[in-house]
Amino acid sequence: MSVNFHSKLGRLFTTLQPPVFLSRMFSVMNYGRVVARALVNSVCPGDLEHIPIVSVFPRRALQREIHSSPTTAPAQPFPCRIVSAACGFSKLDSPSKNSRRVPPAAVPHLDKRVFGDDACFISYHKASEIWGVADGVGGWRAYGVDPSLFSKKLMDACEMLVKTGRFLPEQPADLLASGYQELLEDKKPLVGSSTACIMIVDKSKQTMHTANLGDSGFRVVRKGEVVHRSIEQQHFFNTPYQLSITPEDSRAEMVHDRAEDSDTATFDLQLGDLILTATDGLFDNMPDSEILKKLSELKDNKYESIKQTAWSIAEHARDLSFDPDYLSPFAKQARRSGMNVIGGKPDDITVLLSMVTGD
Amino acid sequence: MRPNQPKYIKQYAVGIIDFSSQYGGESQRSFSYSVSNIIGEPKIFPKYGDFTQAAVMRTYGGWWDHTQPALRDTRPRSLKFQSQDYIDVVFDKAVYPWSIAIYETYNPGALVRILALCQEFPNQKTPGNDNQDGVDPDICGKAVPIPVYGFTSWEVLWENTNPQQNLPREARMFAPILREINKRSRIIRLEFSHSHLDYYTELDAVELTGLPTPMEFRQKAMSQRTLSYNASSSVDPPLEELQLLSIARSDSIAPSSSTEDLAYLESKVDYKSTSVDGPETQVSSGIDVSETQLETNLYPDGYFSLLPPEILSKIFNYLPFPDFCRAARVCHLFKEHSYNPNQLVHLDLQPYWHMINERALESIQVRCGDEEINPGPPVLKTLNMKWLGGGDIIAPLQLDLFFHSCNFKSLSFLDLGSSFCLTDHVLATLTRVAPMLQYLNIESCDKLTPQALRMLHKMQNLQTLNLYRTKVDDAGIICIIHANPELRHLNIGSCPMITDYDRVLQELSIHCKQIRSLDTWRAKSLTSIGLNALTSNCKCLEQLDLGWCGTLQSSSGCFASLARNSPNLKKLFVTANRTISDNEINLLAKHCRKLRQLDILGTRLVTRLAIENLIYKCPDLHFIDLSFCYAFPEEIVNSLRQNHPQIAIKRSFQE
Repeated sequence: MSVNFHSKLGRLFTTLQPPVFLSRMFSVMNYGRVVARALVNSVCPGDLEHIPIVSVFPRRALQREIHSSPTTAPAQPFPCRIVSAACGFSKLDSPSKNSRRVPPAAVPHLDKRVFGDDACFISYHKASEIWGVADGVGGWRAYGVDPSLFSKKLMDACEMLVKTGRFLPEQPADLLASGYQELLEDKKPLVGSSTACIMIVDKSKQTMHTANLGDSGFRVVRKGEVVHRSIEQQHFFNTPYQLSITPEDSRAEMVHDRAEDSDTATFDLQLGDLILTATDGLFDNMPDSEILKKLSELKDNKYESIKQTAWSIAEHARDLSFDPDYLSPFAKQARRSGMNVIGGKPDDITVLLSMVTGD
Repeated sequence: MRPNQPKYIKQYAVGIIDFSSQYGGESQRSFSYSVSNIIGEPKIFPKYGDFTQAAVMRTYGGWWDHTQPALRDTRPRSLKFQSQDYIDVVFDKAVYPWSIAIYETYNPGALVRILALCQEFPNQKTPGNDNQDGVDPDICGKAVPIPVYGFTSWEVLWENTNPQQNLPREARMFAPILREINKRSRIIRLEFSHSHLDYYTELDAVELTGLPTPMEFRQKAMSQRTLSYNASSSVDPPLEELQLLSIARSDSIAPSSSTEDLAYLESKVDYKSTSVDGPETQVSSGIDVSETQLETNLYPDGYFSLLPPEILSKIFNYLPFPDFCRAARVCHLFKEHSYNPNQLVHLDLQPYWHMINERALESIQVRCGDEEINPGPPVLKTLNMKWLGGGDIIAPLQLDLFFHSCNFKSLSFLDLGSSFCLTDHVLATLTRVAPMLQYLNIESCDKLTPQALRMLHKMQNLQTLNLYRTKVDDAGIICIIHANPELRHLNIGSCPMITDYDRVLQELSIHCKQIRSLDTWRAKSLTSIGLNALTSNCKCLEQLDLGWCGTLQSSSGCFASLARNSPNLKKLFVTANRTISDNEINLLAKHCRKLRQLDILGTRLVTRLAIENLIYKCPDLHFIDLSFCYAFPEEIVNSLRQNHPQIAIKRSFQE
C-alpha cells in the first residue's frame, strides 16, 4: 500500500514518457505553396531602402542585451560550463544617429527577448543548458497579424517546458514540437509562423543536440574554424521551412512544416568551443569569414567579453545589412536564383553566443 | 524565548500528489492550464488575467453540475461542506505550518479550506539536532516519507464557511491565519469552491512558511488544546475523531450537554435495568460520565424507551452523522438505533472524508449492514464516498473489506470520485457486490488500470457513468457501452487512453439511443464521423461538451447536423473550436430553441449579428462564453450585457 503512495509521488519526478506526437492535425494540412516572408519582405532589386513594412510597433530601441545564464546556473560538477550572451537589433533600428538617441525606457513593448520579429530564450534544467532562436515570418503583417507574437510565444512555451523539465536532452525536435503544441493549447487563438532553432547542451556528456527548422542556424567554431553547422531548409528562395498556425477561414494554401521535419544533429563539444546561434538576419548579411574574424577578437571566457563580441557581431551585421552596395550572402543566393540583387538585407538580427569553458 | 530562535523556512511547492480536476490536458508534456503549474515560484503574479502558465481547475460557478442527481442524504451536516475541488501539494521539508500563502492571479476567492497531512516520519524524527538554527542543510532530495497507517491524519488548518463574493479583480497573495497544530507536515491540501465565482479561478503558486521545530510558547498553547487526535493514547480513535468535529462547531449539540439532559431525565423514569456492557463504557472514555455512570446503570434507556421506535428513528434522522454515531455511547436503546442499518439508507460521507480513517471505516461498515452482524434485507441506496482516503489514510485493502462486508445489493448510487484508495482489486469487488448500481462516479481515480476498468461491463444497469480523467481504453468503454443500454449520462472527458473517440461515439449511438448528456472534453481523436453518428441516431441529446476537440471541423457539416438533429439541446460547449462560424450559430438559433448554455471560446469567425440572432431565438439562453472571440471586444460584450441582463456573458482576457 505504501508502495502505491510512493509511486504516485514518484511520478512527478520521473522522466517523461515517450512522446505522444503531435496530433493528426498535421496530416490534414497541405504541404504546399506559400505565403512567406517573400510576400512583403522580398527584395525589390535596387530598392532596399523602401521595403514596405507595416509595423504595429513603434520604432524600437537601438540595441539591448538579454539576460545571461552564467551567474544563475548553480555550480555543479559537470565537466564543462556554458557561458552565453545574446543581443540583437530590430530592422527598424536603422544605424542612423537619430535612433541611437531613443532611450530604451521610453519605448513601449520593451521586451528583452524580442528583437523585431525575432525572439530567443536561454534557460537551463539540471545538466542541460538550452537556448533557442525563432524568427517570426513577416508576411503575416499583410493579414494584420503581428509576426513577433508567434515567435515570442513559441520561445516562451519552450522556455516554460524546459523550466518544468518537460523535455529530453537528446530530443530537441520534441521540445520544439511540444512548444508548438502549447501554442495550440492556448485559449487565445494565435496566427502566424516562425522558423526556429533549438540547442541543448548536455553538460554531463559534453554533447550538443540541435534541431533547426528553417533558415536560422548555428555555427560551432573551434580554433578559428567552423567545425559544425546547421543546414538551411528552404522550400524555395526566401521561403524557409516554418512552424505555422493559419486562420481557419483562409483560402490561401500556406506552408506547414512539422517540428519533426527539422534538421537534427548531435555533436561532441570540446572545451573552448564557441557556439554562435542566430537568425537569418546575421547569416544573410555576414559570411562565415567575417564572423570568424569577429570571433577571433574574443579575449577570454568572461561573460562580459562574450557579450561584447556578440554585440559587435550583431552590430557589424546590421551595418552591412543597410549597405546598398555590399554583395551579401543573401544577394549571392538571390543571384543564384536568377534575381539581380545587390546589397545587404535589412532584417531583425538576433545573435546568441555561447562558449564551452572548463572552470 | 530561546536565544537562538529557529528560523522560519519559506518554501514553494515542489510537487503535486493528487488533484480532482484540471482545465489542461492530461499529457505530461503539456503545461497549459495544468494543475502542476502551481509548483515552484510565482510566474505570473502580480499580473492579472487568464494565462496558460496558471493552475486552473475544470469548473466554476453553477454551470456544470446540472447532470448531478441531488444527493438524498437529508441528514443535517454539523459543518458546512462546500468544497468542490482540491489540490494536494507537497513541499520539500516538513514544518510546523505557520502560514500558507496562495498566489491567485485570476478570479480570487475560491479557497475554502486548508488541511495538512500530518505523518509520523520514521526518517525525520529528530529534526534540526545537528544544526543550531534548526535549518536542515539538506534542502533538496529528501526521501518521500512512507506513510504508516494509523499514524497519518488530516488536520484542518483553516476554513472559510462563507466565501466572499465580488472580490476586487486583481491578483492577490492570500495568506489566511492558520490554526496552530503541534505536528509537522509537508503535504497540504487546498480545497476550493467555485460556485460563487464568475469565472475560472487561476493559481500561480503556493508558499508554505513554518518552523522546523516547535517553539516553546507554541507547545504551551498546544497543551491546552486537547482535541487533537493522538493515535497511541485514544481507545476509540474514529469516534474521537468524529467528536472533534462537533466540538469545534458550536451549532451542534455538545456531548456533555446531552449526558446532562439524560441525567435529568433519569430521575423521573423507571426503566428495566440492564447493565451497560464493557466496550460501551470504554467507548465513552472521551466524556466525563463517571458520576452519571451509576444512575445510567439503574435506568439505562431514559425516557426514550417510552417513545415509539419510529419516532425515535425519525429523531435520529435529524442528527448529523458524527453525532449519530456517537449517540451509540449513550445507552443500549440509542446503540440499537445507531446501529440499525435502516437508519442509513442514504449516506453522504464526503463532508467527513478527512476524518474517516481505517478504524472509522470499520465502524461505518458495521452500521451499513455488515451481513454477518445485521442479516436482513439490504437497505443502503445511495452512498457518497467521494475523496475518501485522500493522503492514503485508508489502505485499499480496508476499502475492499468494506465493500465485501456491506450489503450493497440495493445500492443504486455510488460516488467514488477522486478516491485515493480505489484500486483495481477494490473495483473488481465492487462490480461483484453492487449489481444494481445506476449511478457510478469514479472520476480522477488514476490508480485504476485499463484492464480493471473493463470489468465495469459486469454492471448492466448503469444510467450515469463518470469516467473523467480515468485510464479507460477503447475496449473498456466499448464493452461498458454494450452492457449498459440504459446509459443516459456519460462523461469520458480527458481519458488519454481512448485513442479512437469516433468508434466510441459510433458504438454509443448504436447501443445507447437514450443518451442525454455526453462529455468528451479534450477528445483529441474525435472527428465529424463520430459526431455525425451520434447526432443522427440519438435524438434526445440535451447536453454536449465538445470542448477542446480540435479535430472537429465545421466545414464537414457536423455541427450543422448536430443542430438539425438535436431539438432538445440545452447545453453545447465547443470550447476552443476555432472553426465555429456564424453559420453554425444561426443553425443553432433555428433548430435548438431550448438552448440554455453555449460556450464558443476562441473562435474568430462568429460575429455579433449571429449572437444577437441566437439570443432572440432562444428565450431560455442564460449563459454564453465569448472569451477570446475576436469579434467581441470588451465594449461589444458590455453592450450585449446591458441589452440582455438575464444572460451571463463571459469574456476572459490575457493582458
